[in-house]
Amino acid sequence: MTPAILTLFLSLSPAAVGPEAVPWNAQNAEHLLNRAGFGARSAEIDAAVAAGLDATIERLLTPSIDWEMPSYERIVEPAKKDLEGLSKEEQDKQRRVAREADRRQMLEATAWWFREMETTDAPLQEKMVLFWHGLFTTSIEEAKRSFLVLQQHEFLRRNALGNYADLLRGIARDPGMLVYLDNNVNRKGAPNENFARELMELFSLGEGNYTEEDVKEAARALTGRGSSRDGNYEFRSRQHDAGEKTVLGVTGKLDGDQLVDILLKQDACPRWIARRLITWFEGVEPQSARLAEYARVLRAERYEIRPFLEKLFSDPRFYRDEVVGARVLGPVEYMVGTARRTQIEVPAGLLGAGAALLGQRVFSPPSVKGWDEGYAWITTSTLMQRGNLAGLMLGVVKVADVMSMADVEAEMAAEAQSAMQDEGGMQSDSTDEPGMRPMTGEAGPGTKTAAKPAVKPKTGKAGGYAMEILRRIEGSGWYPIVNFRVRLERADARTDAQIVDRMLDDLLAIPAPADTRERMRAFLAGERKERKIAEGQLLETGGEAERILRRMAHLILSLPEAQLG
Amino acid sequence: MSTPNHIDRRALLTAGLGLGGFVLLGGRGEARVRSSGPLFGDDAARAGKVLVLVQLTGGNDGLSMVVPYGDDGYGRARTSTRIAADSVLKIDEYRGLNPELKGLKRHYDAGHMAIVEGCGYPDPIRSHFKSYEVWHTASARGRSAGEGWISKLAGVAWAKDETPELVVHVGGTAPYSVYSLSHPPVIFQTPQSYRWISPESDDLAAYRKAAEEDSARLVETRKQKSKAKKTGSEAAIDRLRGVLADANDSSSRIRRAAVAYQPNTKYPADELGESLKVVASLLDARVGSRVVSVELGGFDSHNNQRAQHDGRMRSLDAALTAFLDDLEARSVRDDVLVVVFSEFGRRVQENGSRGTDHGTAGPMLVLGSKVKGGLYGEHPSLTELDEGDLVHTTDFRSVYATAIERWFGADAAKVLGARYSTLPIV
Repeated sequence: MTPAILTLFLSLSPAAVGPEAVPWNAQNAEHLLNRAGFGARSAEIDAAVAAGLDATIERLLTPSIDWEMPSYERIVEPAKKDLEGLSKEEQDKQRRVAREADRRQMLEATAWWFREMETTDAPLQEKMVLFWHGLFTTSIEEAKRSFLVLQQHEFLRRNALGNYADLLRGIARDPGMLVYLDNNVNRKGAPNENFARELMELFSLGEGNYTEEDVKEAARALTGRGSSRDGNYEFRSRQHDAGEKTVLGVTGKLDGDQLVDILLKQDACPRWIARRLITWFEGVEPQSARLAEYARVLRAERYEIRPFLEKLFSDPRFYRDEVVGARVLGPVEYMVGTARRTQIEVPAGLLGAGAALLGQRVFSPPSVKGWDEGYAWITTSTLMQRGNLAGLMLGVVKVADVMSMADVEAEMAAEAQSAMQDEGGMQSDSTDEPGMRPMTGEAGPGTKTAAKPAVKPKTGKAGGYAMEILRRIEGSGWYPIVNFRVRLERADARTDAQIVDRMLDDLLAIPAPADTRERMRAFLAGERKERKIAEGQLLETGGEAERILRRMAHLILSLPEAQLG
Repeated sequence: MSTPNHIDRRALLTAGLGLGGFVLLGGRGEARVRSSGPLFGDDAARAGKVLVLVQLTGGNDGLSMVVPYGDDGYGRARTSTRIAADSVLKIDEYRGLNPELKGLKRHYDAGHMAIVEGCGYPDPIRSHFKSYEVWHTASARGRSAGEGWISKLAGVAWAKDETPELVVHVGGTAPYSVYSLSHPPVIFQTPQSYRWISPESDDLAAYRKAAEEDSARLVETRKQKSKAKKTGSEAAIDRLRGVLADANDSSSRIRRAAVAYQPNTKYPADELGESLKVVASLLDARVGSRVVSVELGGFDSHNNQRAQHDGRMRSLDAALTAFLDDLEARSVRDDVLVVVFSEFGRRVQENGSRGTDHGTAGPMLVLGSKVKGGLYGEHPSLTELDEGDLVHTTDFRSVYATAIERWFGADAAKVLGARYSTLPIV
């Protein structure tokens, strides 16, 4: 069936179309692998096409056998009584050591997760961990202790492709969550409704599907649930309000588990989760009839995630024009996907730090709602910054340039200098004037130029945590190992057109627009001519070719089309 | 690198031609009409006017910002978060400012700060995110009502203005109010990180050439809205190319403004301080911004609130005071109107953890040299509550309407979809 006829067919009778209606070709295979994983490579796409849709879905739905996280410790700052008798310096030191160990544990676990996303043989599982982390989110900024956050991560990881009802029950007992949303201090007679509200608004029903009275009553049902000092779930029966409550029309001496069961029985619940899942995977919100259809599936399957995803991935509507290649990659997806597509062994710390600079610092969401997806990721600034991070991965861009004003300062100082020369009275000793020195970063008191830099280049602490990691990686002497030239030779791509096609194919998730192809060809031809290299001979020039190809990869990954998948 | 376009624009702007309508060449590859915009009122006087939006994210406890210390109900409802009568910065016998707001009190006393009390809307929503949708779209329907109110304002007041920096957000994720397909905002966190880097001039040239070509083409596309729309991947690429074109056009200008700027005051080294310093540099350079948005987060505290909220007030006061004082001796001073708002206030009664839960109405602040300072609206009753929450006395859209109509001279009903009374603040 040609695509045109297929489209017509679909538009006439969408409900009648079964899974077999998905045309299984390279484009759709790439689409599925990108959405269900990170940055599909050409070989993987070929393998998926050969295996067929059903086998590909089945493989995606098979969890990894070694999903286990590296072990992590219950690091707790020493309690007052443990520090008794010690000098103030010694007390401070012990606290500092504990904090530093906690920070390091967080960094190591983050790096581990990024490496896992990049190299796993069960990418859908990792994609779902990322999804749940955005839905049932908890921030290290508020939870404070790495153990709480990592314990939650382990829970989400174990249930990533499991059952939503189990996840909701578990998250309502998760010590990290209970601390994050203040349920730790939700007590009988002194309720705190923060967790109760978000449990309904964000984790299960969606706003508008409960009343303010329901929030207050649900908070009472949740009283007594908290985290022990060790970071274990704790139910403090004396703080629990055992009285009668009414939530969503159900009256009884409700506790937290009964509350969750009430939420799971609401029609709004499968609808809310189905909406979140479909929007995450498709990039656009589902129409109401389709949403209802998927909510029914979730309900019928008792909230099992696998059958839901199986239906979604074999649904021809998942492969429709509006969806394919039109979803903005999140920062984590962009960083991991870029590492995978370029096949560069990037230090995992760079991936995490890069995603953080682009607005997605994992384990530190901006709010309890997680991250805003889609176009919200792309600002005038982050779009450029994405290219800079690709440049770092490719060894084209230096870390010191990522947060720097040196270029503008030099440019303005040079302009000021030429302006003063134009004013006549050319002074031979003009370069001795303090304001005339380019790139000084600061000007002396006698300066008359308008270009006196007021913003000092922040090479010190600018960019905080993420920049610090990047500087450390660069300082360690890391340089990417990548060999585009050999890969192109193997593919027998030698002319400008062949090289550009191959590079675009490898580096982008979507077919490049014609004008992009032309621009890249022009770029390559220009670089060849500068060096007097004949068409078809570029790859013969060895290191020279490799440098040009890296620069072209940098350009490609900076383009709008590289942000979609 | 500065392109001739930037020089032209800057030269024109600094030559004082920024008033009234005139034509700038270049930028998006065609004549760029810089319209003064206002549909009614005194065009020349209102050209160049700017609105600075300061969003306090997380639900600012209004009762701890403008404290009704003289109300018995306040003393009864608040214990751990209560601010004692002898420490508030007294405005009158009923209310006073949080003791951390010393700088703002000075501006209030000088007559340049208006407090609009009890701002909210009917059927208040206590979800941070849904309530912000209402504030950002000025509609009870939230996002389903369409684009944000700033986007609509731009469409009404500056429809033909193609300046990328017309609407700017300094920070990470921008509020929905500025999202716009017709006037997409420039968004950046710091000028330091706002550029595309390559050590190779050929690469920079290729990057810029692509952006400029796309820019010219996209201007055409934006004009021909009625034509067959692209969908899916093609539409997405076009949209992102528009962002890239604006980024390419504005990043150098913004970075240069930041480098050239010499503040007259010391800004705090925190996020809001840094953001407002950059805002001051853009306004002083007259890059053509009409709405600028910044954010102060950290208001979503539910326990041990007093110290946290005091800290937020301290940050707000330090940054905003530095900003206002910095502008004091600059010509742009009289063109700046600052509006401070939050998605909701907090419940009157404290919760059981020395904090407060989500509530409803709260005060808005309006500041600027042209502001007629003082109290506006009415303080909501602390005893006649709705489900334990304050009942709003002024619709927040009245403050929007005031900015739109009395500040910008545009038709507020067109922007807000309904007519709201305005306040004689400006």
